[in-house]
Amino acid sequence: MPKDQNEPLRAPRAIAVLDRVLVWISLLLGGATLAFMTVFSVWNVLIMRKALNSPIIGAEDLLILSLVVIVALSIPLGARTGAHIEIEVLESNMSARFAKWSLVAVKSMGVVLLAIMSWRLAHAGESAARFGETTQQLLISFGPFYYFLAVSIGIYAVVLVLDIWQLIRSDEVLKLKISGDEL
Amino acid sequence: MTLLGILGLLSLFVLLALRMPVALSMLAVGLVGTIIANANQFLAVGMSADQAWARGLRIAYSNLSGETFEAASNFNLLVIPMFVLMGTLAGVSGMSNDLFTAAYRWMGHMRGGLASATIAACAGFAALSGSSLASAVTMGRVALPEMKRYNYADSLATGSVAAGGTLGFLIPPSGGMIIYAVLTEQSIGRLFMAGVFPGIILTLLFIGAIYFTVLRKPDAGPRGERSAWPERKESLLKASPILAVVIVTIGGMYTGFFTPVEASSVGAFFTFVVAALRRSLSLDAIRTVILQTMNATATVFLIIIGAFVFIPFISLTEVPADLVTLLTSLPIGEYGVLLIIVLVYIFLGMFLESIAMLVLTIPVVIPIAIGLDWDLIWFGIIVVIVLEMGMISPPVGINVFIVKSIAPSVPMGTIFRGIWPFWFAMAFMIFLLVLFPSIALFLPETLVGG
Repeated sequence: MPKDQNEPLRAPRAIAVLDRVLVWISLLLGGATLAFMTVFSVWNVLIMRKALNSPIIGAEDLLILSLVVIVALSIPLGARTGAHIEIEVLESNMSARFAKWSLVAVKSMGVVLLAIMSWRLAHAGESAARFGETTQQLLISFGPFYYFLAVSIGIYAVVLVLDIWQLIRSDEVLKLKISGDEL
Repeated sequence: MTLLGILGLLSLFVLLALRMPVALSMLAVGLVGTIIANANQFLAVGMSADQAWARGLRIAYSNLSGETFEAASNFNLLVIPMFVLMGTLAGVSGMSNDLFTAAYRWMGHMRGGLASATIAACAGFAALSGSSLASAVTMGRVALPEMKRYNYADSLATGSVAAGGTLGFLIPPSGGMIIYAVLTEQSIGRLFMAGVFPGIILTLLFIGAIYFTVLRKPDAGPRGERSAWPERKESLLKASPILAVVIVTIGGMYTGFFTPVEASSVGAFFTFVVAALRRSLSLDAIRTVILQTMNATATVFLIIIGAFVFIPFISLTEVPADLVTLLTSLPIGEYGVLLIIVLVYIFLGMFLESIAMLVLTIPVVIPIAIGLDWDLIWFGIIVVIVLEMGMISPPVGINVFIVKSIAPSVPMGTIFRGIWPFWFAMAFMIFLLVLFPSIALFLPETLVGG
């Protein structure tokens, strides 16, 4: 049976699985982190500090670490949704062939760069744990949070590899749409 | 070193032209540039080549991980996810409808009143969202069908939405201001305060631009029905929860009751409460809020991480210092230098996305501003307004594309024709700021001190 021309293109299975995992992790962990940041900060400011004059010790530490978590969770999601800004002004002046292969080239460079970044963050995490790099008040080690960022950047690199695969396979990269599409 | 800096900038532009994400381009150039710049410095003091390159590499690696963590754990940047959350909650909960209805009831009977109401509602929504795109999308969906119903000229209708949306970048809490403040080490609170009067004046200038447009072409913006006083009061009452959130958060920040970080959390919390009371938080809406908040967080943070790695490299080269020497030696005076900077921004704004342009130009432009002893808060407001101009400038004004996606039947040429009165209003606002810097500086100097 011939395919319907108007049928939207579907992402390959590996990417569909990655999208599903990223969206669910974002909704569960990201949602919980955002809720924690909002409620905890308001509780600390309005109730504990302003009303009871007894601010929570280490509140800033917990908020800083929550920020690291939300950033680490957001970066791979943003990689799939196309959140990372690109300048596309010259694309219309490129031949289709040049546009495709130049994009493959820059994405490959991106993979190398992100792999280095992930490796260095993991290395920094190891150093942070070894040298006692901690938050100021609660003395929570930064080590795990460096690792978390390393994993996040690593997943971004994987997304770029999948982009390259899509480009070579079908000349275009299908992005994840975050409004109105079903889980 | 200057040559290295110039080569670095050229490489950056090549990578950007090849569609490498702005953040990754800055990271790549920053990493490689830092290795070379440091190795060159060690070579210059007589270190062996092997050692010099090894040290250069070690410093660059350390910068890469250190600056990434520094950006991701910067307490001041907590305002970004919180204000974005506040804006997306306001967007999905339909609060924009109430704002527009209130503005429409009060201004709709005037000639061009619907367009003016759109601008006023955009300004109100900007105080919640901090994003020009969110303002343009949200208000466009509400206002464009209404203006079509009253036979407004397409150019005026779409132009007012595109331009009104840009107010999200100027009226606090503004995402652009937060990034500027962090990268230039200025106070976010002071910058927000400095944006209040320019934001109000620019809103009035936009309404003035609409007035002149309909004065010239009365058919462009016919009068709507005059609302009765009870209707006006009722609409104001319905919009009051939104105004209350704005007053509590932004007012709390200006009076010193909250820091900007606290204000952002309190704002997000109260917006959530208002949205919940309006029964607009379905599961689908919550899903959209979380994902859109994380999406915007990803955009901003990765670009800041890129800037944190790129800026130290550019500072290591002598490009900014050389540029300061060059510009200050020209016989054009301070205003001439400012004019050059504004013209360069306007030119770049035709091709670059505003946040990208902001982080790419700051390492070069700020040393000039410091060299000429300009107030960086005042200069920040000027930069933000020029970036707003870029959002509606042809050929790639982002807000114009947003409006086009909401009104697909209106040709791009018509939308671009409609933005010019607003574009000139922004240019006039910059002129006013140069003439009277107190427009920006009065509030921070009065409330916080010089």
